[in-house]
Amino acid sequence: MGHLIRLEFIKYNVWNFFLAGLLLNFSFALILVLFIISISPGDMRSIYPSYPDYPFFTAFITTFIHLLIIVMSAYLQRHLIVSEFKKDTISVLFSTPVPRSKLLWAKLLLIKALLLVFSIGSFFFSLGALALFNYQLETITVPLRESISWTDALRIFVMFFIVILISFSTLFFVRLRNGGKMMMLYSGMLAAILFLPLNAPNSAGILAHTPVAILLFLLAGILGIFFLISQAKRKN
Amino acid sequence: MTVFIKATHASKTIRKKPIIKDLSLEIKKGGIHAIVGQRLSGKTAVLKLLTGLWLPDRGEITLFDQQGTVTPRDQSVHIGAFIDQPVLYDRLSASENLYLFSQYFGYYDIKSVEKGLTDVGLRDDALSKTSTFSFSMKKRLAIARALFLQPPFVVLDDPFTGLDLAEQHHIRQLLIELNTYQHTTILLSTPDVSEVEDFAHTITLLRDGRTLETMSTLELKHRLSSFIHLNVDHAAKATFILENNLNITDFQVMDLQTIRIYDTSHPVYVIVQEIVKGGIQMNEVYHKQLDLEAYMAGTSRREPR
Repeated sequence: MGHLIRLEFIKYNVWNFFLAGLLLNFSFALILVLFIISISPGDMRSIYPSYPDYPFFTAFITTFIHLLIIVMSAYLQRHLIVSEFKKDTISVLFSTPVPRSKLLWAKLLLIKALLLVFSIGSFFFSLGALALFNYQLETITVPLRESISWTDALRIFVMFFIVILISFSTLFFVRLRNGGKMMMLYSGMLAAILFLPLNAPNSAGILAHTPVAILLFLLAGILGIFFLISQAKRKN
Repeated sequence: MTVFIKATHASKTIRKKPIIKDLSLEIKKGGIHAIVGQRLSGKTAVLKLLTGLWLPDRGEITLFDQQGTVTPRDQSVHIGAFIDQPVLYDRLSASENLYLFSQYFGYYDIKSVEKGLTDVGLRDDALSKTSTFSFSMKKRLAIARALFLQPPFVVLDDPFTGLDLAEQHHIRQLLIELNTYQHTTILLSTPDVSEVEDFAHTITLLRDGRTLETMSTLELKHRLSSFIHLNVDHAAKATFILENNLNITDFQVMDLQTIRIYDTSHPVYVIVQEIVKGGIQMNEVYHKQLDLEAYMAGTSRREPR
């Protein structure tokens, strides 16, 4: 499988993805800085009493990364899977002795690995940028080490993993005529529905905090993977 | 020659549309076999079925190897195919495309990549990105991809269209050499029989997703060379006389009054004499040259041989 993933690296210019990720991270770091400078703590304390603290910004950062995971997953799926079907290069791959399911698993594992690296990297980058900025301004008084434990970090990384799986529900669109565009549209909607407080200001809660919703979307993501694999095993 | 691949009444429907209605043919090991048919006759679909890219809905396709019978999909390691359009990875160079493909076969040899590119006249463009290639160059690279790992069975879909005459000649020579010296079994599809009549051993005629006839190239040439057209008042009686009095069996009844005789060993006056002697009125008689499409139209009206 490692060999097949390496071949995917040759076909797809992964450095473009990392470059895009880096640019997104710098942009987000800038948003964080603007957030801290422009919003007065007094205003925020009416809805979040302990503002500003690291748990608040950690939640803010992870929500943003969750949104990015879903959109970037659709972007990667479009480039690594949909384009192969669209250009019909997939039929060249299917004519090789490698089982079709293995070929697709290699693509899915690569997407998963890239997103995991991107999400964890972004988490540390954003938190690092925030800590660095706070070192100058001293806005947040409780130190980072006392605010977030490694257990919290692990819980956040597990959630990244789950969100990556959820993002695979876009795979239901792979074989459709405008599958790539539909994937991007669906991923945007999915990200908004799951991670944005659509009912604010009446309710600032997000759907992703409901275990049932997460389980249902997780099931959709897993079914999306098996849908793609079963499509490849079809008679044509 | 032993049978290498055999299709028995295979059919295929895509999106409720029957693409292949009845595919029955045998391809001999070590031979060059051509499937000839007009546009939309189902040539590409036949090749997809024979290489295992598609599986038939009905009927079966069997590949005979040393272990016994298997399906083409199980033996894809032994099949080099170029089917439909020359699809390549545009951001990769010509040699990288071949390198990538060989990696999927678990085999890589820089010399075989170089030889593959040289064989199709692309050695000087080995490092150029295929996005800059013309259609003819892409097609030759796709052909190289099918050939460079030296598989025992090569399948090429309409390999000559889009190539200039010199390139066509070059590819034709390459295929002849592969068949002669490496005993590669070659299966081609083409809309134009003249592209393959000089080197294919056998030809299958395909029309509307049905195999009409399989015959040697010589036999097809003979059938297309000329025939005697007869118009009589009673075709059934005339065929009785042809079979019994003149021992002619190679003919085709077109309708109640028209017969085509492909066996031109008898002089026309002898045929006319015998028919008239049998009390049948002769309305019209002449020699005619037939093109392939007209021949196939006639063949599809009768039972496949």
